[in-house]
Amino acid sequence: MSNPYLPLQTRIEAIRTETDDRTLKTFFLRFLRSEDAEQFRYRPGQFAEVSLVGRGESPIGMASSPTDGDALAFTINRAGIVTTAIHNLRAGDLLGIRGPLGNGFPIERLESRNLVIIGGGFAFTTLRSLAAYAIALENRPRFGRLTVIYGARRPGLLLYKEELHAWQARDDIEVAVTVDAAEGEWSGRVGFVPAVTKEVAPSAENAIALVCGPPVMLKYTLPVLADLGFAPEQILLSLEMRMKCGIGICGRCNIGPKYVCKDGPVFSLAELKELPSEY
Amino acid sequence: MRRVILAKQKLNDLIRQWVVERTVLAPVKQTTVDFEPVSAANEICSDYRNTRLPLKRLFFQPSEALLRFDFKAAPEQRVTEAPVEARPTVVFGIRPCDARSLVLLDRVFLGQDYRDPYYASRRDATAIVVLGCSRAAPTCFCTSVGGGPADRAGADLFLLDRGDIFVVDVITERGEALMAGLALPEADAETLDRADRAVADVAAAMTVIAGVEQLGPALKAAFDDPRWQEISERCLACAACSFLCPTCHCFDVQDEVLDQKGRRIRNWDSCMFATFTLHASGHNPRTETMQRVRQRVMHKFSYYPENFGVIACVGCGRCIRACPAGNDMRQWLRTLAEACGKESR
Amino acid sequence: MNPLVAQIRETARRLLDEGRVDVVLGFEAGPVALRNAPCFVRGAAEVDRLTWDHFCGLNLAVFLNLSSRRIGVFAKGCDSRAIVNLLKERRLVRENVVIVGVPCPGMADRGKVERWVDAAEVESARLKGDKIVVVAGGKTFEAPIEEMLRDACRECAAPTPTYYDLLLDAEPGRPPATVDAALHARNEPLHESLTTDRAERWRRFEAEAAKCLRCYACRNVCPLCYCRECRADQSDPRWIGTSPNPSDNQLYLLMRALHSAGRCVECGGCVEACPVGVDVRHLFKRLEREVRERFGYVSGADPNQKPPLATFDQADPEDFITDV
Repeated sequence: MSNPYLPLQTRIEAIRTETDDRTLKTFFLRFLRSEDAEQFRYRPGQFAEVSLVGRGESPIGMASSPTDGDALAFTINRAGIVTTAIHNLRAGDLLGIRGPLGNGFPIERLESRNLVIIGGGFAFTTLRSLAAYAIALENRPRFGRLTVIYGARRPGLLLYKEELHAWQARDDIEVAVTVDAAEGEWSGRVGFVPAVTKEVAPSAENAIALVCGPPVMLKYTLPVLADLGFAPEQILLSLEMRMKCGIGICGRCNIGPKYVCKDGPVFSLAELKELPSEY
Repeated sequence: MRRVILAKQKLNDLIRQWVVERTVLAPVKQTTVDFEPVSAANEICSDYRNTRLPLKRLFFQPSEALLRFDFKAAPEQRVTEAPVEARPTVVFGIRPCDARSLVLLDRVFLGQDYRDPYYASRRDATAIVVLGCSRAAPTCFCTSVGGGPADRAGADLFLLDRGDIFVVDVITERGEALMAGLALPEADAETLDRADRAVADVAAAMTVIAGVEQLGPALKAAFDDPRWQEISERCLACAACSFLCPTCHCFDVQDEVLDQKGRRIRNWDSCMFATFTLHASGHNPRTETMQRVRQRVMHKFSYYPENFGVIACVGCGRCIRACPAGNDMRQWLRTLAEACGKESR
Repeated sequence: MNPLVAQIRETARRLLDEGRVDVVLGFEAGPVALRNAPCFVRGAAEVDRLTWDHFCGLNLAVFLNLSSRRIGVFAKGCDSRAIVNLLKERRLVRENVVIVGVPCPGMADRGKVERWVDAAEVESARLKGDKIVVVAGGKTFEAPIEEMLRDACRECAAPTPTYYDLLLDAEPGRPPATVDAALHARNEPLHESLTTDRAERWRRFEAEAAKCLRCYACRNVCPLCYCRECRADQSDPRWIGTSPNPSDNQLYLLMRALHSAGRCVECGGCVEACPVGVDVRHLFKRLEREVRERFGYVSGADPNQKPPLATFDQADPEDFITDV
């Protein structure tokens, strides 16, 4: 078995600043060695420890979908020491990757179902991966209706604007993008994600809801889903947690008998209810 | 498994034989008794209960480099694995509780999905010679957590001290290899019977905290019981207990750089520390000491057992001796057993 | 049994019955020999748990930090000095604490006892008159308790609290004790570490620091180490590394000593708490001596005296930085 602590080297191919306050950037990475690229087989919902040697590591969800091609994409929020240092990198710089880690979204469970993808803020990144995966030509027939509800505080903070725009023009996926408050020339929806969810009112029949967002969004969105008839087993969430090793050994992300890095980060609401609320 | 007699005056021959190709660690008395390299039997402390520090530090070091960085090297050589020194080693005289702790740590570090190469290479190179206990210390509670003074878990050789002789159980192949070249007589039934009964008496004399092994699920139900607050009232949230505990294994990873070179280091850490679960965003799920005390106890007595079927505590009592504020894990367990409605003696 | 025990229990009962406090903090028999445990008593029915002897070394002021409870605490001299400092630093509301001073007979040093019994496992310890009787490794040892007291206690300038609401065992008419700075100076041994050469001093410090595991028991047991974010934990900026390597350990110990200057009450709790026997008490003592000599200030003696390192005075000497 290879050393699970050893990051594989990638080169930054491109960097796209997503938000107008520059706190979120998407990094497109390519492995230096083709064998590393071949072995890195991931599912939407998984993450990797993005490793900047000399600074540290940060667990970041995969924003790219395996259907996007060889380059990996991570949308990184500038939050602390490591992510700030990563933000200061340029195209051509090296970055280490350890992964893929975590359980990812349970694709087998999602097949033949209608998927209701609800994201808020920068927690949307792994949901983007799932949506892109689902609408890829070879995958689309495996899933039922696809509904995406995505909101940010204001237009300048929306991720993946161009892509979402393109998706809104498609007829095999329904995309509702909203902002809490409009600004500039925004002519799209204005409204909080929970309210928009209620309005769009996806049916719970044969559906799975995948929800990622800040605590306040979850607090108000989960009851809406419950009212719509979604049982706790039908709602999947992705947890954020402080991590270090990412492989279930160091203990930092331990909640109850689970390790968020290994048994998660994706948990159903039913599973979360079994865990102490220490996240 | 063979059970043979080793005359104590022959122990030195054994040590001298081992030392040729192996490092031999044994309890040595300096200001305290701790494992140190020895080359002769007379260097070994013959009268001790347990060492101050647990042996986990041999396999899971307080601070060790995982990776090395060289920023001047070519990109593909920039990050390399730090070499692990894993000289063949014999640990002689480890107590059953500490040997058992290694088996518990193995489940974490040598998992099905991920194998920690640093821990693994040292563990693979080390033979474990356990010395059963002739006396329990006032703080021992191994028999309450699935262990005991004659517990053979983790032992390659298991010894019982019978005055002039040791009764030696040769348990594993590695144990056999340690005894190679020595023709030792098989122990007779009477000697074995006396030896086994003597150590069984040691176990029988220990106070057992009843119900600890069944506490796991009940503790989950008692998660919000006010008694957690009660037991953590005098905890100062340092890591004296965690660092001296043979089974605690949380660690931190830090990158340290000097000029153009650096290392990624793993350091002992503790869930008792206030910043253990602090996110970069400032959010911290466990700000109160009570929450962290609860996490530590639950991890050992509920979560780990749920995942692996055994309690992650060996009852060595070091936490009780180490705590500057008089906290006693046994008392905690009794209080919690009460909270869960289980009787405890 | 020590006659003070009855007074302690009676006082605790009274404080609770009269409703002056919600909880009383003292000591009870601990789980291990030589070390009693802090005891929170909430009802008169529990006061008989309280005890008092040479095994009550923990500085109880550590539990008072920002406490919002009304609490009565049985304070030794060093506890009382720590409380004075907490009051000065506004970590305690005066009305919330009733300080019951208890004259301190000096506290046992577990490390000393363990060395005395040659590292055998201590099974029990009790006091017999002015002797301590220890059973270790199956053998019995006896010695005058004086010999087993902490060095900090043997050098203590104020074993009887000088700041309190009530003082137990007080003789009527006896003048209140004061922190005797002269006693301080007399009792302070001419520390070996101060008379040997610098290389030897450094070697000794290096040897102590090398033992440190960075468990922070010393910091967490200290009543005056209460920063919500300790500099040793801060990651941005990373003032010192968190790894238990010699260099970062040295920085941690020096940093803690400097941050305690003028505030340390020299109880020796840090040494007692350390699970691996690190002893750099001499650094802290040295700094307290500096503060006494430069500023005429004794840590924890007078609640009205402003802490010199937190106070600016035009007359402060400036003989070391500028020549204005």
